Amino acid sequence: MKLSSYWSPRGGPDPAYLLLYSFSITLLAVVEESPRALLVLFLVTGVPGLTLGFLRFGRMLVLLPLTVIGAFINAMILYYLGVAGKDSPAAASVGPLVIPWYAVNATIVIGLRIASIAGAGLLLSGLANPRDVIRSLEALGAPKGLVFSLAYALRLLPLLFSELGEVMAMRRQRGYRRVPLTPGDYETIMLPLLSVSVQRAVWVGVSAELRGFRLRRSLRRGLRRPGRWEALLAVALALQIAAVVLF
Amino acid sequence: MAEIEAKIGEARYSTGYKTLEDVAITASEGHRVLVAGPSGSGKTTLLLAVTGVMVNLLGGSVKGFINLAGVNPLEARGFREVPRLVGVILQDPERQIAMPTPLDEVLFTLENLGFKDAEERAWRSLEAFGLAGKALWWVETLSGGEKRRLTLAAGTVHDPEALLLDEPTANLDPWIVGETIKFVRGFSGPEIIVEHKARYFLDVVDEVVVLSGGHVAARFKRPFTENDINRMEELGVDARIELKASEPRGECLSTVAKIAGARLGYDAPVLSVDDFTACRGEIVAVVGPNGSGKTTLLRALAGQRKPLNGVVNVQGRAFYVPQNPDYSFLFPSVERELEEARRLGGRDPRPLFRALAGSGGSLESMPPFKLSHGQRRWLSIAVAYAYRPSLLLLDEPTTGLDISLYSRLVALLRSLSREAAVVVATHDARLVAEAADRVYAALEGDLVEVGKVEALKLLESAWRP
Repeated sequence: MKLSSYWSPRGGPDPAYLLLYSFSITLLAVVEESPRALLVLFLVTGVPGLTLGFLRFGRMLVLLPLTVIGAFINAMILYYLGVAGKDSPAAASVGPLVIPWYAVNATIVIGLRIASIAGAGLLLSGLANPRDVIRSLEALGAPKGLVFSLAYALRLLPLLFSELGEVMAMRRQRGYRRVPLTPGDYETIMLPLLSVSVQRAVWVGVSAELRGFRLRRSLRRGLRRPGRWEALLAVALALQIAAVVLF
Repeated sequence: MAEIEAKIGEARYSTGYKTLEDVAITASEGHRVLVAGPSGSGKTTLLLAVTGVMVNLLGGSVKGFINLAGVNPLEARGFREVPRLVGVILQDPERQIAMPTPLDEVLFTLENLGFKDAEERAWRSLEAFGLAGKALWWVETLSGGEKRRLTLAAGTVHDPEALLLDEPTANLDPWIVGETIKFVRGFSGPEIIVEHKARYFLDVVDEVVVLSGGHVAARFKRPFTENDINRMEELGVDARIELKASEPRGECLSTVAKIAGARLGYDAPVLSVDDFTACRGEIVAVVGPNGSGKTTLLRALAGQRKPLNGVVNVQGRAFYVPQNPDYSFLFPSVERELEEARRLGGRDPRPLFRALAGSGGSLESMPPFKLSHGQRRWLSIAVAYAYRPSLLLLDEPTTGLDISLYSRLVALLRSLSREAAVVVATHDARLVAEAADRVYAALEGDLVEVGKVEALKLLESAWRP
């Protein structure tokens, strides 16, 4: 499969700017507590990011509502255990079950936070291919070891999937259950995968050194001159920072 | 003028184990030296010693003198210069390729070495190796041959003065072997080729150095006589250029597997099979280029892949042994591996494994992944044997085996074929010539039965110039 045609639109934003933007939004979403500020983050970044993500990953986004449901259940458990929100007034009740405002607020905050972070990530992966993102990291001055590790991880992912298929087929052939349940089952999957990966990593290391990895100098080139896309990202970020400061 | 000269008194790994002793080798400009020898003779170690990897990366020691295109790689300063001066192609492309796309892989070499015109050079190189159209594809979607070409591109894109290749034909079909030989022939600097299948390179090398037990067992200079070739074979090197097809045994004791009018593949059909049978009492070989559907056929026979249409009939149990035996092992020790196979398979594989590995039980406390390649191959077959298969499916079983291990494998397959139909997918013309009773060829999407002589001609003409 051709990586570029699958992932990146032509003439999109510079991956370096996109990376900085996504990182900033993630940071804001993690530190911000106000639902109103998080709503702004969600509307500006989460909605377009999730829309793009839905177009690409489709049903995988079902995981997101599940996460929100999980956050609600967690808040309810904490409330009923008396760990948090003890004095919170009731927002609603369903039969004997009282839903406190604490659980509603916590679910909204966590939901908006997760949706904003996921949206930022999906915006990044939807508008730039992973290869360009990794190369932009190097252009921004990230250590070469980190960049190499990320690029190698990208190389390994499809390989690991195919190896996992080999190991699972061998397990079935040898009479072990199809769905692993016990720690022993997982051991029989992880052991061959890790052993093969370790051997490969040693040789890839040798290969990289024999092709001059230790001689590699930083390919830092800074940010390119911003264009329309980058200006749009700057405006969006300014708006979101303002929301965080004001709310 | 570039030269490779190595006079190694001794070389040891960090464990202290001595692997080379009194080995001298010289390749001058335009001179090609083939280093051959049985498994464990020190071939790859020699390459690691000559490049300085053994001393500078693996914590081993090398006593002696090495001149690699004008630098001493045993010293840190010289080792730093090695990537600029030398191109190194490793045995397994999966263990050499570090980047996610072909373009990145080639750029990696150039950017490491500080080339200003890296992008332009990378594209030129990919074009030359026929990979420009796939420059931004995931490496994982390339065929085996394309991955080998990518390693050749990435290893030589910086125009090195000397070239070192470690088992460059391993796992390759004869068509890609032919391309690799052409590449070796086209390089003008000194070259050292480590390869146990010497037969592929006898026409292009000037000297053959045979290692045995870490020593130089013999040297042969071009032109190689029949006596030289006989001597190389005695020393465990696959050097026989002309292969003769043995008489098939012609024993079909009972039909175990049958496929009629099936199309096999994953999402799209890869192989159409009009008529395929495998009988107890025979060894059936399946040949064809990389990606032609040989493994797909074996997996369909093993029940791991359903045919897209048609029916695959197998009487009794089928067991598939993958090309890389490491995927067969699920436990941390050989002992547990054998015991678990006995428990679930119903037959004790220990006697077979001990007989094959000649170990008398001494290897059983070891992790399977620490065994030698040959021992791992025996273990994977012993595990299969425990399951009493009526259909034994082996994917490239001779990969990485020297002549002596190969002969042991052929004897084993003959013996196993008395109780099971044995089907092997292989590129190995020697296995086809000496062991197969019947041969199928996977060519241009169709599986057809061919005569042994015809199959041999097909495989041998593919790599010869």
